[in-house]
Amino acid sequence: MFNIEQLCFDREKNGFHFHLQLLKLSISKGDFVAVVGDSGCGKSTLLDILGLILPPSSVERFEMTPDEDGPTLDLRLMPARRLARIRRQHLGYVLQGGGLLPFLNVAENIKLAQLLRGGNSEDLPLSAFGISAQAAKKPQHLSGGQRQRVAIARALAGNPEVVLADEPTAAVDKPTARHLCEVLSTHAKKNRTTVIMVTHDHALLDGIANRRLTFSLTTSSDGSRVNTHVHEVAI
Amino acid sequence: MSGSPGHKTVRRTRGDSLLLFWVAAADLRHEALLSLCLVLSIAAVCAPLLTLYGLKHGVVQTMRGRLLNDCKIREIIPKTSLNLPPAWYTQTAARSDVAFLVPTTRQISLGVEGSLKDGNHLEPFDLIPSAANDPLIAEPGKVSVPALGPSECVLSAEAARKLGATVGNSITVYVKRTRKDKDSPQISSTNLRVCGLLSPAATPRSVCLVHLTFAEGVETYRDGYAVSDYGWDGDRPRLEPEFDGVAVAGGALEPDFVKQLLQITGATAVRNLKPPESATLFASVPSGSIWLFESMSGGVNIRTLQTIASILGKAPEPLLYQPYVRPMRAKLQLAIESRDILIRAADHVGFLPPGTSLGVSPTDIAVPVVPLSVAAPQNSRLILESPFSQIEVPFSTVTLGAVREEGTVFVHWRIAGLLNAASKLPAEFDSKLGLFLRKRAAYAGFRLYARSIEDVARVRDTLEAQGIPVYTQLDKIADVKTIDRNLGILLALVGSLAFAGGCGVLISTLVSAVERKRQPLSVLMLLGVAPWKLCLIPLYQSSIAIFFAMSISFGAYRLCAWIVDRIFSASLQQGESFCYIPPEQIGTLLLGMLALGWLVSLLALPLLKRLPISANIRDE
Repeated sequence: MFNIEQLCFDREKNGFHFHLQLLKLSISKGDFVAVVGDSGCGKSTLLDILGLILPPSSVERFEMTPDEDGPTLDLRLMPARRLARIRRQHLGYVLQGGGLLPFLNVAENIKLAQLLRGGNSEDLPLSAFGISAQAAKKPQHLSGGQRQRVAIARALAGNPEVVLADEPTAAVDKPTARHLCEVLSTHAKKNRTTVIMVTHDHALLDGIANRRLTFSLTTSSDGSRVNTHVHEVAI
Repeated sequence: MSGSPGHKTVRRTRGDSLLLFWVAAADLRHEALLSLCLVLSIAAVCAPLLTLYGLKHGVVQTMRGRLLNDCKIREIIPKTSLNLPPAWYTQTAARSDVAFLVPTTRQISLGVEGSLKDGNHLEPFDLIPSAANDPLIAEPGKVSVPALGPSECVLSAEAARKLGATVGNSITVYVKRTRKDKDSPQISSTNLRVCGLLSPAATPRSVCLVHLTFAEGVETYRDGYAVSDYGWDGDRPRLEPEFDGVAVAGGALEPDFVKQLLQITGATAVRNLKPPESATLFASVPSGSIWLFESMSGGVNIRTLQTIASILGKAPEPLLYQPYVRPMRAKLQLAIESRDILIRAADHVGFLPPGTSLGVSPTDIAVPVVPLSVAAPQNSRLILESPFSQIEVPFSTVTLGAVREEGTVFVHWRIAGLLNAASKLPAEFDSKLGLFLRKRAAYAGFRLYARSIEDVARVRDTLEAQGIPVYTQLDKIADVKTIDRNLGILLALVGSLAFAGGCGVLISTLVSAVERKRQPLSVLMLLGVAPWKLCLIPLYQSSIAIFFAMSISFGAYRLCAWIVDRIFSASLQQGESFCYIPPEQIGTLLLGMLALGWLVSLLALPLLKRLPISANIRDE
């Protein structure tokens, strides 16, 4: 699905330098990748790079093969318009707070993603996520758990090849968090959807994720420079 | 590099446009209160602007409309009494910028008195010549108005009030004249049927519109002549014979004689005519020498001849004379054939002795002096084409005889003089009276209306270039144009402020909307909507808001228009409005506002392009 080599990302803000490095990463179709680490280690930065909304500072290889039998896409130096098209066709997102559009109700939020991806409203998987009763509600009237269910449903609507989830369970209690991860995993398995999920909870994805990425942090003596190195650990 | 990004069906632009319209509308509905505020803030700018535009348009159109309906504004009046030939009227009336033209007679001859028929209360009023499509008679909106008949009239409101007359009544018009040879004034009258009344707005004067024939008749009567159309008696305007010189026959002429005759005839030289030329010019050539005093400008009349005769009578040896005209081309119409002829003057007795009476003949019948070779039947006519008209004179059969070889017909010198005069000024042959009569040669003035207010200046310039000074209402026309221009400037000033305000509202709304909606807009971009397509959202939203704002503004403008028209109802006529915008301009204004909204929405593109998605999607 993803093939990455020698990826670097640098950010400088208020005299504070952040440097992220990923030497080699290969993610296959159907993988459930847990991106685990403490706050500020670069989990979300890595996810945004994989989600094509944050360009890496440098990369030697950055490829995506959405369809096993299809062509491989070179994501380096691709124009914003084509990146938007790839996001739209192949990527689904679950954001921390849900990232739902406040002016559309639950059904409409899901329908919009589905229509953008070229699907039709008949295969709305509302009941599968236990949110049928909330279909007509606006996001502001949902609980945190419900909102995340809708966000997961929206991310999976139209069967994208990859779902990227950024701390989707940060705002819910542990049992709900575990349940949400199971829901996501169950549905992802059905279509062999690749899931890359960021969490700070090291145990949350035990038994769910088949791969785990983590971060080694080094901070300079004056604290102005943070180097983070992404590497995979065996499960 | 790789190929196509994937195998899935991609939604095409049109589908996205509809989808984004749905999103934009849902967002407006979601924030109904804020949307209402936006609509009201745009309406607050547009409503006064629409009303102001309506006022400007309504006031100017009403004033213009009144000017157009008020024919007086298009009237062009001669400053002085004129002497214009009928041909001038024909030419001028044919101009595309002249709507109406009728000749008028001398101002002094137009004042008459009248009463209701059989009434004895006399009122003075002025006659005004009229014709078909008279703008004074025409009601606004009516295209054609038939001409008045010679026995019909239209009274002004004031004249009708004074006479107590109304449509359908007959009035008696009395025309008075004073003649030198009569002690007491003569009065003649005729009845005219009142077939219409002018509105009080048309003129405050006491006037009576009549057919030009009647006005001419009144003037003719005042000049001492008879007017047969109305049975008014008087002299006939008989044509005076005019000759081109005189021929004198006899012995040698004394230099003194020659000098006197040259002076009297206006000739520049005297010519001694010898045969055969003399035999061509005259029907009979007396013995002795013949001297021709020929004036190039003509002008020898009966009185000149009398003076010449008296001078010749004093000569020591007998001298004869004959009035001379240059040969005139004419046609002799016989029963079925017509012949081209040359007319020359002659007399039955040959050259005249000085004592011959030159008195007035009772009739002017063309009598051939030298007998014609063809039989001239009873109804033969002599036809002369003059620059003014065709003169037809019965050709008497009293004496028949021969035409000279070259087609010369000798007619009595008096007839030749009359035909000569008729070729130089307007005349006619009245076959009933058997007389040559002078016809009207000129008119003293005119009533002229330009086609539109825009034409007035051009017609004035043309007339003044012809040496006809005129009065116009150009200053009033200029006033309306000035008001139009000044109101236009005022509107442009207020309009630009409002326009700037409108732009400000739209831009600030747009910027604040993009700022407020960073998160949902970023989410939409995350879902794969390209920034340029995302631009459609503010574009749709501003269009919807402008549509509603313009609807509210239009309602407010209509309400104001209704109030304004009620306030000014006393000054408004039927169908007029002081606050009015033509429907097609409302459409244009709406489209203009929408275009402005779209233009402003395009400013969102750079803002959206710079929106950092990754930073914004985590703002909740």
